[in-house]
Amino acid sequence: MQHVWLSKNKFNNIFGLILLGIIFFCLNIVSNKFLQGVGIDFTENKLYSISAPSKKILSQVQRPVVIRLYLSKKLAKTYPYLLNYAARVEELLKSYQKNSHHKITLELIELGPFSGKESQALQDGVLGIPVDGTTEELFFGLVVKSGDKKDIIPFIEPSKESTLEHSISSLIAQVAMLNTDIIPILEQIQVRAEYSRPFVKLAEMQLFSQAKYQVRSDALNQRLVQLNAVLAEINLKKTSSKPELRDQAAAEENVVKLELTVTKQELVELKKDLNNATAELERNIKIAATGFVPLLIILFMLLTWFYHSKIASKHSSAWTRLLRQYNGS
Amino acid sequence: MWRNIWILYKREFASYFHIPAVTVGLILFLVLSGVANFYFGNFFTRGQADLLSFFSFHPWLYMLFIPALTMRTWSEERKTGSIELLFTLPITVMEIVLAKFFAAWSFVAVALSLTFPLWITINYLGDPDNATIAACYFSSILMAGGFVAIGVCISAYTKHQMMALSASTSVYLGLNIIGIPTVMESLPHWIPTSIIQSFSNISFITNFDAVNGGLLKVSSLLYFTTLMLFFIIVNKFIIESKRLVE
Repeated sequence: MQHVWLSKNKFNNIFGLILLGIIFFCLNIVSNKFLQGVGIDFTENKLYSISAPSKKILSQVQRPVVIRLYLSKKLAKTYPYLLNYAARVEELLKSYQKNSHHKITLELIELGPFSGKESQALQDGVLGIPVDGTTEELFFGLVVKSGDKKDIIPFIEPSKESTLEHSISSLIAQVAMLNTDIIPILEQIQVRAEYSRPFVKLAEMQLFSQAKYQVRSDALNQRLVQLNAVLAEINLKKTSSKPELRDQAAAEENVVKLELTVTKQELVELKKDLNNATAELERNIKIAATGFVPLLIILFMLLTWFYHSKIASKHSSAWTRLLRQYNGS
Repeated sequence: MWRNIWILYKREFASYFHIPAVTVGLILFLVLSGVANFYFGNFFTRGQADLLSFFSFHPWLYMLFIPALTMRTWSEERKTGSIELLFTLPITVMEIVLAKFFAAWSFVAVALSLTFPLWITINYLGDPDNATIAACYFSSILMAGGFVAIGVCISAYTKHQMMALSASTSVYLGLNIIGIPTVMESLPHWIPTSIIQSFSNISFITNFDAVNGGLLKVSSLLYFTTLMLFFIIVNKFIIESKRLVE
């Protein structure tokens, strides 16, 4: 029945599919362009959204405000931490734009080699930070403009993330020349939560094992000091005029020196043990987290293997069961 | 309609637990997700209580795992001839397609839920942002839906399972790598950036990466749902046209 392919209906179907594909493609391009800042912020501390006081300030902005973010994206790629932070700043600024009732225009300017935009950045007062190993400068600054008024953050420091919203809101308020008293509103902006969430438990565990080792290493260090004092005494004895005293000192020196090397060795081993303990802790966590469920599944498989005949008979009747189910309706 | 889908779904879903290849794939997926997180993702050196290093590997893990699930959905039926039996039943093609799609998708969801030891670990070690992790799991399942829709669709096209496996893996690879910035930059310069940009918009990686930080974009949501819908419709079309030819 090859001719079916050539029927008119089929052609309609193929064209319909191609049309559908084009619609799918275009829809995604359009949605990416126009729904850029629209999203649901799932983070616990609302890292991508602005708080109520900032929204209050934005609602009072009367004249158009331009926010310009300069970033040397290519250079920043060597610092993943900075790039992550820049992405968060970008989303935060988009949140400002979204809540501004079309008063704020956001310009994201990417600087790169030969982009010719460095002069513009410098003119705006943004600071270029020299990067090790290159002759280029890294720009990551913010300019807020409205009418003839302008204010800048020359370099957005990652360490000041907690007060970033406060400074951006105050810049906007200053530039847009609000009539109301903004200081009480600005004071309501809370310090933003830190993005960073370190391993508390792991650090605790490391501290605990370190403390345990500390007692022993302290004792060993004390012994080292004692031995050094004895050695100094022996050295004094060696310079004395009595020959029997000199002989005694030489004999003692050998014993003390031996103990000294043994103690030093012990300290080195202790440090190695401490490192090994940390590594073992990490290894145990890795094995527990990766191996737990696969092990369960292998056990489950062995069980099913044990009852294989039972399951096989069930499997073969799957279709008859389906047919029976269907006929029953 | 949903009753028919439910009956077929149960049969399809149960069948996954009887196939050793799928179980092996499941174990590989779980082990690899852990290995990717701890070894390639620099979990301990980063020292951050989040699952960023875990989720960023998901497009690549799905690329290996999901073809093992979807390769047999249609090609097996075609090979054993049980497809004829299926067509004699008073069910529409759309119902079969949807049942097969949902069965494979929910099996991926089961596989993903079995990565819970990582979540327990991260909660033990630190104080993570659990709302973000939930959002990541949600969008990962959504992305898996896109992968499954493509895989089932490709399986409908061929009688040979291996063919379906390699074809779907390469399609996934293509859809993954067009979203990588270095690949986009290495393309010839005469291609306008707007075209490259629009192609990267339909990449799994571009649409999934944004969610990693806890921001679920509406455009990504739209992308994954339209991708699923599109390939389900294509799937139906392929089955119907093949049926006429045979």
